[in-house]
Amino acid sequence: MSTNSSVERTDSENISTQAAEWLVLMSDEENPPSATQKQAFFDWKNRDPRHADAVDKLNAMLGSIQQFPRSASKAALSVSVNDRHHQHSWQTLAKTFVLLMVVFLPILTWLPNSITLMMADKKTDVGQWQSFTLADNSIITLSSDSAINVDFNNTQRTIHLLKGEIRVKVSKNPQRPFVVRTEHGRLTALGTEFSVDKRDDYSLLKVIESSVAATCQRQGCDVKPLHPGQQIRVYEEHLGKVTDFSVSDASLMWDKHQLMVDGMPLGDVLAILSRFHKGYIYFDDQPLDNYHVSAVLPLDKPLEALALLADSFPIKVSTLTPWWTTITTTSK
Amino acid sequence: MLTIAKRLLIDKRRRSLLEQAYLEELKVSLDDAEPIPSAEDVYVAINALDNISQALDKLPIHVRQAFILRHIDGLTQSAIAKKLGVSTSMVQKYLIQSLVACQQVFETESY
Repeated sequence: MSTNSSVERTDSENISTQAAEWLVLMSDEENPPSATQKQAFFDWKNRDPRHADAVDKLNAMLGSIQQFPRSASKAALSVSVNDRHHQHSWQTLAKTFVLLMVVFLPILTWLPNSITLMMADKKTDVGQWQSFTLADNSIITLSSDSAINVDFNNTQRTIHLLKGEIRVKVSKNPQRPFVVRTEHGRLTALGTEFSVDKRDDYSLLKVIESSVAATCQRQGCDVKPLHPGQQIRVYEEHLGKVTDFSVSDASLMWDKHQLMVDGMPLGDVLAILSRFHKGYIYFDDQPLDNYHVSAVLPLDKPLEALALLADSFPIKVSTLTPWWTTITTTSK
Repeated sequence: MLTIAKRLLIDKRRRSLLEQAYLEELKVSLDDAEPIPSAEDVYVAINALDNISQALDKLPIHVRQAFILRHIDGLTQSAIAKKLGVSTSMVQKYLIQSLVACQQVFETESY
């Protein structure tokens, strides 16, 4: 056996390939071999005893298969077809892995966020307002559906606003600056009163008393000082324009839970109201922003506020379930 | 070493699965008033099928299917081509490939 040279092996492989080729050609019932082909096959077999031997062996094997009960043979060979998959179980493994990633990636990205909110130091539910006195006697008020983490040390007092809106009355301490951080930027105050509303794209800072320095998250972002009655949108990459707001309107919201608006686009008003409502409020703000609202709306009763708006604007409020409210425009 | 051991395990597993499938199917089809095969016949059949299966195992699935359709189901080459969705010349290639593989297994078996 071991004396087989590689030349001989290639030779015998060649013979078996040729034998197989001849058999396939000769056994094609649809294109029966021509007389010349038959003769060529005959010549080939006679040229070398190994040729004839290879053909005989193949014929014997194929003949024996046909002797076996057909369905049983098929069942037996088909089993092995399935068996192939066991051998390549890594493929199944890979597929399973891909599937798992598809299912779990969204969960994995959603989970840390919701865990952070769950583990927040202080938080409020929808429709809830709550005030806390912190260790340094600063007073912090959380509006509806808000969450913060408190991180005080010897050199700095930091509030991480995770969600929603807060108002802070800072107790003065020049040695320990008071900082509110959001994912968008950093707002630094020394003894002052201000509010921060964290929205999707930006955080809105309103200064009620004294002054606050606002800066965004980007490295080397401007630092802008704001004074009472001034507000600014802090985006992650830049600071918005400084505009004015009414301090008394803001206080009305924090102290009496009344939303005082003067010419605010209807879509923005609905967005604020929806933060105070337990269910989901669905609306398309494109047509709604054509209307401007000047009103005082009860934040603790968002459905009443919606009804008030429906009285003065061509909108229809339909509540399908307590959890789903749709607002549509009616062409009056 | 590990590969050989794995190979042997797979061989053994295939053999037992094959045997089981063969016998079960045989039992079902015996109602058709065919002569009952002797234990020796069954042994020979399983042995031969095991060899074929071993040979086909290393080949692509289409080659294997072509072999089964041709030599067990007795389909013509063009019928197989239609069933597998390939050309007739491709089927011929498959059949040659499967026959060569079977030959090699039977040859090592006879040593």
